[in-house]
Parts: sequence; structure tokens; C-alpha cells
Amino acid sequence: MKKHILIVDDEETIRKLLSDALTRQCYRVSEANSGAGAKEIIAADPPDLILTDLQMEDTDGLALVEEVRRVLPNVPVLLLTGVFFDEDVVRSNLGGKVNAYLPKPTPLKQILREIRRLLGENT
Amino acid sequence: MNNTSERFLYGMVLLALAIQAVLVVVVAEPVGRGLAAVALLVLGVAAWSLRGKLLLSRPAVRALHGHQERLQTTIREKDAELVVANEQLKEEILEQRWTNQALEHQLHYADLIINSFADPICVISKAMRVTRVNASLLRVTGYSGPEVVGQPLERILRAAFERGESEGDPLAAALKTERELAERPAYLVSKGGQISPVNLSLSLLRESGKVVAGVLALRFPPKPMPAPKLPDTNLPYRGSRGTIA
Repeated sequence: MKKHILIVDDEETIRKLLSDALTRQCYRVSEANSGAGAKEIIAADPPDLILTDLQMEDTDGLALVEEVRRVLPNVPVLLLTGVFFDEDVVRSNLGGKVNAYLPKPTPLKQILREIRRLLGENT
Repeated sequence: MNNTSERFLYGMVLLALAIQAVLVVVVAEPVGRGLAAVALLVLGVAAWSLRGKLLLSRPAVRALHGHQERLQTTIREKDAELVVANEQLKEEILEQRWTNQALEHQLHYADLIINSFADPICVISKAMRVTRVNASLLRVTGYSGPEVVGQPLERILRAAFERGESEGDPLAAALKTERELAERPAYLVSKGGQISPVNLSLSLLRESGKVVAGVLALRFPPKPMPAPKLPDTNLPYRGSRGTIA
């Protein structure tokens, strides 16, 4: 059965590119452009992994993660954002809240590798 | 066997068949028997020749089949290679698009940051050319981005030394000696030629330890506060406890 990945990002281009890349890797992909949309999908069709941006119009990725943790405590969350530039700062501030953090200029291949790792798949 | 001899053989077969038919329908014995024998002979010769032709063409047909199979195998292999190459190309295109959008996102975010400053901001190269400006600078000068970016800084900013208020161009000297400046007097020149006094601060933009550009933050000097209206000193001070004489 295909693993289900939820992409949460308010930029359509980013969602589309990530969705294309993940679909090509045989994942089932859902997209949400807001925190509210993400919560609806999570309730209706719980994902195996959440890939979220940090800044969105109605919420931020971390607030979303906190809500997700209450419903799906074991679902890995990968934060993908172009806001932070200093990885050490990110790690110290986000430690424990998300399973992994990648800055947005990260190559797609590396993102896919990280997703496979978080899903416990062979890389 | 060429086409002419093939046609000849087929003609012979047809002729033999026609003779047989005529004999059966029209001609009476014994002439008929003789003619029938001739016709059978012709038919036999034709059949023998056709058999020979078939035998000769069998290896050629086999070779053709072999060639066709090899060709199909090659086509299948090339097709598989093309599918793999196509998938690889699609992945590369996707990766390229991802990189481009990530860069665009970073640029957009950098623009948001620089444009969020209420004070005019301007990035200059070491050759004192404008390389980037924020929205506030465009608003106060009346220029559009393309009108100032790439132009010499003097189009929008004059150092105070031009009016004899300081010695030498502090900006050029600071960039050259890699020093930062704070709150130095200068003049902002608008598109309409209007000159406004500003205070400039220069921060150095370093890349791998080398100064590659300077960031100018301009600030309009605070307007002098109107002098408070002092009470008439001739009047006696009236406090809450009475009048002091």
C-alpha cells in the first residue's frame, strides 16, 4: 500500500513540485495550503508523514505540529522552510518539535532521502 | 529467381489449367488425351520449378525472420534506454525547477526584509554603483528601480563634503579602507532635483571575509522640536499650596 504524505505549504508552486517528486516515488500525496486545510486532511485521512512549511497565512508550521502531535503523536514531521538560515539556531529552537528540518534550498534528492529515512524505508 | 521467370512460371501454370479445362469441357478423345498429357507435363514442370523456388527462398526467409527479431530486440532495448533517459531527464528538470523556485523564494524573502524597513536602504558596489534599493528609497526619491539600480550612487546621494561640510568623500574612503560609518551627514537627491539632508550609516557586506559591497541606511534627521512655551517668568509661581511671592 502506498504511503500517504501530506504537504502543507501556502505556495502552490512548491506544493506542486514536491507533489510531482513524491508521486514519481510512488507515494500517495495530499496537499493543503493552510493549517486549517491540513487539519481537515489529517482528520479525514491520517498521513504517514507530514511535510510542512513554517510560515503560513493562518498559522505557523510549529503551531500545526503541536496540534498534530495531540492527534497523531507518532507521525513524523519534516519541516521545510526558507525562513531560517542558521541550522544550529533551528536545531536548538525546534529540537523535539519536528523530526527533521531542511532549509528550502535543499536539493529534492536529499529531501526524498530524508523522507525515506523518516518513513523507515531503505535508502 | 527474378520477376520475369516467376511470371513465366505462373503463366505456365495458368496455361496448363486452361488446357485442362478446355479438354474437360470441349475436346473429345483421343486428341484430348494427348493434350491432357502435355498439359499435365507443363503443370508438373511448373510445380517443380515452384518447389525449387520455395526451397531456395526458405533460408532467405529464415534470415529475414532472424534479422527482424534482432531488429525488434534492438528496438526494445533502445526503447527501454529512452524510457530510462526520459525519466532521468524528468527528474533533472524537476530538480532544476525546485532549485529555481527555492532561489526565487529566498530572493523574495530577502526583498520582503529589505522592503520592510521604513528608512531608505541602498546597497552599493565597491565601485559606488547602486545594486539594490528598497521600496522606501524609491518612494522618497521618486525613482523607479530600473532608473537607479546599476547607476552611480551620486545620482541619488551626495556626500556632505560637496557642500564643504566635511573633508573628502567619507563613503568612498570607508569602502576602500573597509570601515563602517555611522550617522554621517549627506544629501539625498530626488528625481525632481529636490535635495534633502539625511544621515547615512554604512555597513560592510562581506562574503568569505572579503568586503564585496556596502549597505547604506539613510535616516532623515529628526525635525527640531518646537521650543516649549515657557511660562511667563514675571508671573508668580502658582503652586497647589499657594502663591510664592
